[in-house]
Amino acid sequence: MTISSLIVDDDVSTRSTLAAMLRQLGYLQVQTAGNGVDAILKCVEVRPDVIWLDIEMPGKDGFQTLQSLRMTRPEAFIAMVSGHGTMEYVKRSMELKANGFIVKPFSMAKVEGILKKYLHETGRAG
Amino acid sequence: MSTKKDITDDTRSQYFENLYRWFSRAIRVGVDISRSNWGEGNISVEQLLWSARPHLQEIFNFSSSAFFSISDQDNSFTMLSCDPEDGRAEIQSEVDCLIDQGMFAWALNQSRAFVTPARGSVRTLILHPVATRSRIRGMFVGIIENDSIDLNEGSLSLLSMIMLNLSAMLESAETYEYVRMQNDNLEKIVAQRTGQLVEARLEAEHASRAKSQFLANMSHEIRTPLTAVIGFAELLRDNHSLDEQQRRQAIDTIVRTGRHLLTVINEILDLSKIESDRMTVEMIPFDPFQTVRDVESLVSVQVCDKGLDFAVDYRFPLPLRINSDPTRLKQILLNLCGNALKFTERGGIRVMVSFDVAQQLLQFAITDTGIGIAADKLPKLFDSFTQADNSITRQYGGTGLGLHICRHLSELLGGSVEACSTPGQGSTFTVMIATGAVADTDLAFSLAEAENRRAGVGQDDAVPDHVLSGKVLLAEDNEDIRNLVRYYLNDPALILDWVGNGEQAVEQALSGHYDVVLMDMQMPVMGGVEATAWLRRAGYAGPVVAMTANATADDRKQFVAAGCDGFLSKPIDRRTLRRVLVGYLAQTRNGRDDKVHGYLEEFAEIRQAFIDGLSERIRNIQIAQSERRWDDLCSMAHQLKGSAGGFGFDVLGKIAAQIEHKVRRLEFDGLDVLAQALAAAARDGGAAQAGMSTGGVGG
Repeated sequence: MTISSLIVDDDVSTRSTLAAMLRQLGYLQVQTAGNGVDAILKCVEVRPDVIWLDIEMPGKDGFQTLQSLRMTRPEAFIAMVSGHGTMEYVKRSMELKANGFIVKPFSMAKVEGILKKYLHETGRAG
Repeated sequence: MSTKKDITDDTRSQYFENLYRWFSRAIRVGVDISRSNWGEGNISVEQLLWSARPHLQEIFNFSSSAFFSISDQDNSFTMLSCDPEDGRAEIQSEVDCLIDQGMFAWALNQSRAFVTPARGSVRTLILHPVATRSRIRGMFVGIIENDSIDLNEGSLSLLSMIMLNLSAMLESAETYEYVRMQNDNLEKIVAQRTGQLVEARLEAEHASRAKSQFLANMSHEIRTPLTAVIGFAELLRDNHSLDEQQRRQAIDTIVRTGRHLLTVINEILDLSKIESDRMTVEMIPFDPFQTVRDVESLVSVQVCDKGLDFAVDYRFPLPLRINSDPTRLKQILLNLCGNALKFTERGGIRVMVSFDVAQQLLQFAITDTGIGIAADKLPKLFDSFTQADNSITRQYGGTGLGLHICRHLSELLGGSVEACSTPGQGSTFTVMIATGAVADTDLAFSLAEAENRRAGVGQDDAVPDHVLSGKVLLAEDNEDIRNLVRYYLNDPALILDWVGNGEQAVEQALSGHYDVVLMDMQMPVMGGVEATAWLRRAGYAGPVVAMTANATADDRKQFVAAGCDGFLSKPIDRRTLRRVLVGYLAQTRNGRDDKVHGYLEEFAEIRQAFIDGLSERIRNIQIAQSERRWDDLCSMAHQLKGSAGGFGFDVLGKIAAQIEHKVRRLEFDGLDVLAQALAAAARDGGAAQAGMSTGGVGG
């Protein structure tokens, strides 16, 4: 089972941490993007299974990027990543049809939870 | 009036003299009849006629006479009396004939005499109704030999007068009788009512006295311990020369009397609940042996202090599990045992436990060898405000409410309580409660079996009480339950965080790293079902255990649908809580430990890279600040904020957040100080991190 990921975050240490976790879990196909515009371009190019999308980015923020991605790839599984685990952010993400939400700093268990949900919702589980 | 043509003066005077005599006699008869004393009581028409008949005979010389009564139902006529008796047939045949001709009915409606020749014309029939304006009572019928009497206008008027008079008397007698009867009735009713009033008044007076007595007792019951509390407290405050033992004694007294006061007040509250019908009981499954054991452990200490024996006598078979209210059952048993203890100086107390399989009633008989209760005091024993004897209150204390409360509680639990006693030898109080359906398989047939099976049940859900460790998030708005859970989970390596509503629970669960979330279902702002659903939508995979009271099967389905993994019913029991948690904590811990190992090595490298680059990042921030490049400053502070916390530099992250926050709000004062503070925080954080073996993002 392979799951390809696209990590979208302006902070390089977050990108590398998450990438290391995914590799540790056995998912080696990891791409990264440093901002929203890059993310949209990369997404078209590599068609990742799961997109890890930071909300607090300069320029096009995570919510705006989410809206754009939903137009180009409605079927993509998008997990929002944020330093603010507020109910307001969670609700807004879900309204914009995000598929998951994790809060920085995140643990392996949280990342696994998102991947489990992806497998479950795409019927690839088990 | 018949006269003769050739009357002489003599015969004329003779005639008038006869006439005068006749009238004199007629008037005397009339007066005699009116004078007759009929005595008191109910007199009948026959009696009246019988008494009047000699007088009537003086005037009319009837060969026979009779009285016919008229039936109210069908207006038929019945001969009531006849004189002489052998004239009956003759009169009846004459009357039948008149009835056939319709003359009888006609005569009845006249208010005067009706004279007609009898059949065979030798005799004359005289009919006269006996009637008043209100009602017709019957008909007088007489037969006269044709030549025996001069039937003139006067004699017939006299007959009318007599008959009317008789009717009037009859009616007045009846009225008199009716009035007398009513009077008797009234007197009876008045006597009865007066009796009831007196009784009610006595009862009210008794109740009022009992209530006053109760208030006096209460006052006494509350004031006495308060005297001790205040007295000893003042002693402690004012007297500094007390030694340790005296202080200890004073404090013990305050605590003991305070507890006693609490009991008194609780009983008064229970009573007021009972009196306003607000007392409720719950129905939950529990182990009755445990209840008996709890009571035993509480009572046996006091029993030993008093030098008495205490024994529990189990009569098997007994159920291992029943449906009732364990708290209330314990309250009843403690109260009855407390009473037994209070009134017993020698001997002991025995509790016999038995089970009525047919009626599914669990029975506890508490027998003491105390002073006993007089037979006449037994019926009122369970009333409120009542002790068998008020002097008992003064001697033994107590509110006199305990048994009243016991009775109500046992009734609420589907049973009853009763007492029997022999004064001087002791008393037995028997309480029964409904157990709900108990299956045969839930019955134990010996104490050994009960102990074994209870132990078996225990092992099944036993927590080998090892030390739990891990992180637990408790979402619960009730502070008491939070405290209770904290008390139950006081293991040194177990971290328990709490939040007070569902929204906070979502935020905290997403942001923190918990092995399990205990989620109350009824919380303000956002309930547990909704919060769990949000967590699952956000891809939160950790276990969530629902906590709630009175959950139906449908409720539980709803919890599972929302994403709950487990369920804990309130009130929370320590063993069950730990049993549920040990599963989640153990699994989560093992699973993570295996996977975390390799990742940690990689993480250590990444973290080292972060620390290596840190001084340069901070320097860049300080330069951006001094050169007032706000956009750069904001962006760099933001990035540092996002990662510093993840590598264990919490203070650093917070300062970076402050810088970002200030710049965004265009508050540029004090930024230099904050920028300088970053360097110090980096040093401190680095030093702290050096001492840590693991940590950081992995949490």
